[in-house]
Amino acid sequence: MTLKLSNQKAQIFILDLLLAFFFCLLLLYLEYFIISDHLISKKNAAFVIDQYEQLITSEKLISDPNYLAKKDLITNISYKNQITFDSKNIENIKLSFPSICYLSICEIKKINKNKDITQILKRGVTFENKFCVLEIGFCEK
Amino acid sequence: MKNKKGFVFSLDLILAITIFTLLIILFYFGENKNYEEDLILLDITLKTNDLLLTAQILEIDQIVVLKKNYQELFSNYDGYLKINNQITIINNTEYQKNNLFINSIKYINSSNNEIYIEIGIYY
Repeated sequence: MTLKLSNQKAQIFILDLLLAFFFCLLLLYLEYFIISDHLISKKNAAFVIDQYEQLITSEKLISDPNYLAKKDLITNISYKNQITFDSKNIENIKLSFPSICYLSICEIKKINKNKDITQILKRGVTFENKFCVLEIGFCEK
Repeated sequence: MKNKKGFVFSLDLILAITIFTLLIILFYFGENKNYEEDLILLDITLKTNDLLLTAQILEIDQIVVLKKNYQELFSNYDGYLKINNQITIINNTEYQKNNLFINSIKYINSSNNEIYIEIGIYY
């Protein structure tokens, strides 16, 4: 009777150990995936944040008169999506946004740093009373 | 009695581990997906705004002209354009996408005519 009981105890103990071991392995396996996914998602998140920054930069370029937006000198009103080019503004863009290495409007290149462009954003604007595509090329920081 | 405690401990462990991992998985996967969708939507919103604003500035009332501008900005998206009663559907891709983004503008041009422009984009 005592032998039978201790056998049962041993069986339960082994089963307990096996279960604990199995779930430890499962945990390690899942943790591995979670950690690797986390690293990938961190990379993706950095990429996505970069893309957000680029979109906001493009919006700033076409709506701020210090960059490309047209400004009425008498009323001081600036017009979004209406572009004027002047050399001072181009210099402002170069200084404020060093990651911009390519800028063209209606296929006329205004900035071309001859670097590897990682992303080109297209925006629709009016230039000299016609529709034009403004291309903004970003390079690595 | 002691044996039962061992089983209860294992079950507790299983439950704790399962819930813990599920929570972590949900947290990471959920967060990532939204960022990318929002980014696409922001890009589409900005470009449709560009199309609508430039259409108003240049007083575009011909759908052919608006379609040409659309193709220059959205070469990879299907969609449709509407100016007052004229509608044109644009098929740039082979695959049908389910989400539709719509943006519109109404303005009065220099000839005192009311112009309504609507742009729909599948993404």
